[in-house]
Amino acid sequence: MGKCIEKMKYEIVLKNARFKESSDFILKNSEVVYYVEPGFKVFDRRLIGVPPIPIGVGNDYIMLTYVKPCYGAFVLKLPRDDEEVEKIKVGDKKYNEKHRKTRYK
Amino acid sequence: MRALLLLGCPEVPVQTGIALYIANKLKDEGFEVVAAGTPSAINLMRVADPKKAYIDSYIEIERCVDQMGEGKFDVDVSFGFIHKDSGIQYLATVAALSNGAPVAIVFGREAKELSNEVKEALDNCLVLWATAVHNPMELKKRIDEVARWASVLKR
Repeated sequence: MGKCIEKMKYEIVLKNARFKESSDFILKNSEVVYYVEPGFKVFDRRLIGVPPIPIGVGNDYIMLTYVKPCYGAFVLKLPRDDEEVEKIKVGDKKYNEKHRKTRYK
Repeated sequence: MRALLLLGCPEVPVQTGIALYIANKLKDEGFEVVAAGTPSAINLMRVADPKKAYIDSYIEIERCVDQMGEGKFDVDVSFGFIHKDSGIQYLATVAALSNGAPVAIVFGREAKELSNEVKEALDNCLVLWATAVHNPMELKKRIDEVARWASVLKR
């Protein structure tokens, strides 16, 4: 089982947004952006959203969208975990092999 | 056959009544009905259906998505109850993880705009919508136009 996000030291960098706004935020504020399918698991959470779902990665962070039914989309900035980044890269490769489109950064 | 009612935030009054109405029709057609949602959305359904006449079982919404992702749970049809952006995101996720057909039940003050967004986001999704907040009758009318839910399974 992956690390529990709620127990990690994370920063909420955007809150109560629409999913499109949170995706745009990740695109604008990340060093590298990977794309995965809905339901892709990062740490202990499956990502919710209309594909493509962006995940931002930098030297010391992973940035992703967390959607709550009543409160909308939140962008969480989590401490980088190399093992998790490798999984994200595999997810991105799978996504691109399946769709071969919509890479907008 | 198994159907999932993917409930949104219960702040719009028509949601619980319409969900139970759809569940009633599903039960008549022989579906097992599972409702997923936030604890509040689930509790509203539980209180309204104490004898489980309409809903066979409940599951917390994130657990539902996780179980689908693990391949431990699937359904033949998923009804997404949508009155805000997050509802679209949850239905899109379930549609990606499930082999079943997605159906969008769109209501609330932004129903028209949201129904267009659902159509753009999801292929082969039946979208039923009405600008209903307190009064469910217009949305009920849209739902009654579908004679049998089993007919949407192989869209």
